Amino acid sequence: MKDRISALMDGELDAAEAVNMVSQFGKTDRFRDEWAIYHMISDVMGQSGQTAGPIPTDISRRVSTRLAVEPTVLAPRSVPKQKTKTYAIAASITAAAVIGWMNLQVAEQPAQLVADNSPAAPAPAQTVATAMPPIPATSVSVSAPVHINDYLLAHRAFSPGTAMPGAVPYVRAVAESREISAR
Amino acid sequence: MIRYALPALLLAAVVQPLFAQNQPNSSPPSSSQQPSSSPEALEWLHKIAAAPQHYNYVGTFIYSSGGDIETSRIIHLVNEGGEHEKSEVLDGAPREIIRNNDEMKCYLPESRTVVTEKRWLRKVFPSLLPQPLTDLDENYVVKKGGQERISDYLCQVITLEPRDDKRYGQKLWVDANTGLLLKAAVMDKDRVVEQFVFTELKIGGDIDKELLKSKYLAQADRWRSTNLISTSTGSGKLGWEIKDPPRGFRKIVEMKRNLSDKSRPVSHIALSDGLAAVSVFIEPMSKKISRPGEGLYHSRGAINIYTRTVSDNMVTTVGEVPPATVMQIGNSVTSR
Repeated sequence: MKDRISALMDGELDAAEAVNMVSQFGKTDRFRDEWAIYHMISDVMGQSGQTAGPIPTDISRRVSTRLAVEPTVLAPRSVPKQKTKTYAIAASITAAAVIGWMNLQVAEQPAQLVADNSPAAPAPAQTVATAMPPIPATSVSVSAPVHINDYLLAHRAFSPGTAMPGAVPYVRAVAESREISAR
Repeated sequence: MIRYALPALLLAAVVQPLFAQNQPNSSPPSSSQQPSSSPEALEWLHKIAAAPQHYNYVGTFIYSSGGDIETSRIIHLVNEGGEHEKSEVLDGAPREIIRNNDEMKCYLPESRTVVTEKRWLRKVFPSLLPQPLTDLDENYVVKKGGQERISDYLCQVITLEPRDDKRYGQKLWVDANTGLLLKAAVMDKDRVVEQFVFTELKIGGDIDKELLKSKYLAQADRWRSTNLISTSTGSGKLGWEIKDPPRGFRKIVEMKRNLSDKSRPVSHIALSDGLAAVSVFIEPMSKKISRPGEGLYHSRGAINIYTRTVSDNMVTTVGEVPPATVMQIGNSVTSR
């Protein structure tokens, strides 16, 4: 599994594998922790490479410290340019999956909601609505998977929705595309 | 512009009979307990809808959601040819949106893409006239508030309070003279989900048409181009239905849509409660499409997204409504 997390980070998995991996993230704490730790390792290695100094040994302390202050580290933030497109997609899905998981977790019925394929689940849905805290204003950029951006644009195109001047709805949807393509 | 916000919300009332949904046109169940909307406030909504067809303006506005703020510049020109508009996002990656009446082009220089969308509203209803806002009043209480100053203009405040928790509310600040919308906020009770506000605005005056051209016009010929073409279909033709939508949401149209990188058109069903819209996209799963896991996603601002699979189809529900509402709609999608 660790190999595969590493491969996901390096953009070596194809889309289907990446999706499969990402779905695991939502299910277990361990994978998310590993994902975070891999990123920490990657960060730390990167720093040591620049300074040519010794590699800090107390990685786990730093991991937990940073996780404590900065839970958004779960969503990979900086990706070197040479990473493949697959990775970009994986990363955005990850962010969404993790956040989706967090939201559902708040509802205290995550498994049921995530796994529930049956048409009617009004009761838990209700729980989500009432238990949902304000979307935290953290630095995580919660991007939807890439094809969802097309949906957003298509929805925007006719959406009577939010009473905003002309382009704002487009700006909003396009911003999503931009976040993904920029990765 | 809210020009199409309003027509679209009127649309729900107009189109609904055409598509003969199963619910009969019931009177608002809550009207006995809750106040109905003030006619004066509804009149302001008509004013907002009409204003962009009459006034030039140039301004800067910010859009904020969560902790993010983004600044954009907008130039809006009305002439004998109709409405023309250019918006540029000034923060982060450059993006430019050019609108000529119903046609919208988004220039995304970083990904070298142009996305074109032609609105179907006009095509369907060439002369959409203001209609009684029955659907709106059924789901929201529209009230006139006080007056506040925005960007040095005296504005009338209009609130749209949802009658239940299936939808968000809105607060609008309307220039008292022209009816132009200068600030708008989507509200989840007292929390601002997202908002935009002009920070600087000049209404009226001449605008050079050259200013409305995209600066990417020349290069964009070589960019990837995506056209979000849609073909509306008769009701029920898609073979999918929304069995149990939340109260007040009605199907307004169903269509087939081309999306980028998709070999087959995607089915698209749109619902509205008179203000908020929800789209349901249905596409057969294929190995080529990398799909997300099922579940609830959050996009920017008021948008929530819910994905599930129904007999080898991926059903994605998108709307500027609370999470529970996209889930309820997504969960009631069934094939006929």
